[in-house]
This record gives sequence, structure tokens and C-alpha cells, in this order.
Amino acid sequence: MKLLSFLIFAVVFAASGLFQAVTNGFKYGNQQRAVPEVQVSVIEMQQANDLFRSFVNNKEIVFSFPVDGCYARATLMAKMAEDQKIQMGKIFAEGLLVARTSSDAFPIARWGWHVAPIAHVKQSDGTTRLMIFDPSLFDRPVTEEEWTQKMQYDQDILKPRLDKVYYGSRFQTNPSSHETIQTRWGSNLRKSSELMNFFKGLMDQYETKIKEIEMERANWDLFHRNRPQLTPGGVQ
Amino acid sequence: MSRLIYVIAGILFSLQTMAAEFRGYNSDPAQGVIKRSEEIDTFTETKDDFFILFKKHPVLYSFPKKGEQADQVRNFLKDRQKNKKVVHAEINLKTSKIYLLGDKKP
Repeated sequence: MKLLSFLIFAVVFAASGLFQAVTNGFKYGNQQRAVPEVQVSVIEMQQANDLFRSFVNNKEIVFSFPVDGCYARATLMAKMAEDQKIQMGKIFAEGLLVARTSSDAFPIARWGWHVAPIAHVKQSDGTTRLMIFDPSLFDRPVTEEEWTQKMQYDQDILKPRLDKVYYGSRFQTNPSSHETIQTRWGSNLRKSSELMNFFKGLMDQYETKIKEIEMERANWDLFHRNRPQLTPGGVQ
Repeated sequence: MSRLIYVIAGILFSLQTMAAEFRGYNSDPAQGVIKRSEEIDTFTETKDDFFILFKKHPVLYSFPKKGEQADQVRNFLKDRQKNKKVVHAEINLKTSKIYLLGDKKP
């Protein structure tokens, strides 16, 4: 019996180092729809960087179109992490969000809300910090402060405003006002993959159009360079 | 008298169901077109634009305020938001600017 108690204690003690809770911000009216806390994995910094890199390298997730699809990207990333035995949560921001992206094609993103997956990451000083994995905006995991700051770009026609920030489980895709309780992946994975395929198609079309336009411009430039110069006296 | 009531009701019904459509920014197919048929979650205004948030989508799409049309668009947005009606929008993929905004065609 003592051995059993010890084993249970040891398992619980070990598990407590693997997860840390965040408050579940999903509510329905005054009633909490889902569990009040969401368990999120605690991982090493190196593991966090590797995880981030694996997201970026996944060709199924379209990061080159930051304007839309954060909910699908966040879901697919969280599932990828789960496949690597890492349980992520999600962070949601609402307001008038304006982000300057690193994309030449889509430099400004304006959102009513934005979502990205999160995990607790061990820091070099021994503490853990909640970090956000958002490759559409950053090239590394970032803190909540960096993430929210990024979405308050103030050189745009739309004045940014951050209304609220809250957390949810890896299964929750949209803000609380739109969402029913989610305790499993359900059809979200399929829908997310479909959306990514749709965006991939759009991006291919877009890139083809851009290439056509560039080729047309190049032809025009060539035409103008080789065009005979007209002078009052005639063609030279 | 009852016929008159029916006629008035018919006129009011057809007025309410008349499909609205507004032209927004100039279209530029080279930049890609995305079509959305969704309910309006919310919208906000700046001096020159309406910024519209559709349900279940995070993007704020912009629609220009053009003279007298601005009031009509504002009323359209308020009405369709309040009545939770699906609207249709054709949007520039790159800039998130709306070319065409209106009721969803049957």
C-alpha cells in the first residue's frame, strides 16, 4: 500500500513538472462552458525552438499568407505538437489589431481577433514562461508582451486597439462568442487542412499572376529600350 | 380595406427583400479575388473606410466611404448585422479591400 501511494505520488509529482495550467477564458454568458483551467506542456527552450522550426518547415501550413487563416494554422500546429507529445494551448487576442508583417506581398494584416498556439518554456534562469508560437509574425517563440505589441502597429490608417487577451484549449478555434464547447479535435483538423489547401491554391494563383505581370513589365522595358528613338528629323 | 392592407404588406415585404449591392474599391483581378458569404460580426469606421469583421473570420475587410453611399452602406451593415443576414463580398486578396458588397444572391 505504501509502495502504491509512493508510486502515485511519484507519478503526480513527475506529471506536475510536465504541465502548467492556464485559465480557460472561454465563457458562455456567465457560465463557464469548458473546464476552468487548460493544461499546457512545459518544455525546454531547445525543444521550443525545434518545435517552432518544425512548424515553419511544414509545407502543409501556409505561413506566407498572414492576412487570414490564423485559426487553421494554430489548430494544425497544436496537432503537430500533440503528435510530438507536447500539449499546447491557445492564446486569443481581440480588438482592432494591426500587424506589420515581414511579408513583402502582404505587409499589413488587420484583424478583429487573432490566435496562436502556446506552451510553457523553461528559461535559462530556471523559471518558466508562457510563449507564443506564431510563425506568420515571428521567426521564434515570443512572450505574450511581444505578441500583443506586434499587433498594435500604429502607422496604419486603422488605429489599433487591444480589447482582451485570453487562453483556450488546443481544440478551440474561434473566439468565445462564436464557439461551442470543444473537448476534441472534431472536424476542426479537416476544415483547417481544407482552408490551408484553399490558401495554397490562392497563393499559387497569386504568384502566377505576379510572375505574368513581372514578365509583361520586363517585356515592356525591353520594348522601350529597343524602340527606335523618334526625333524631329526622323528615326535615328 | 383588407386588400389595401395586403398590398401595403406586399410592398413593404418586397422593399425589405430587395437585394442591396454596393461597389467598393476598383477591382484588380491580378491581385487575386476572394469571395465571402458570411454574417457580419461587427464593423467599425475610420474617416475614409468601413472595416468589416465577418463571423468566424479574423480579417477586418475595408470598404470605402463614398459620398452619399456611405450612409446607405452604414444602414445596410447595421441592418444585416442586427438581423444576422448573410452578406456577400468580393475582396482583394492582397489588400483585403472589398470590391463588391451586398446581399447574398439566391
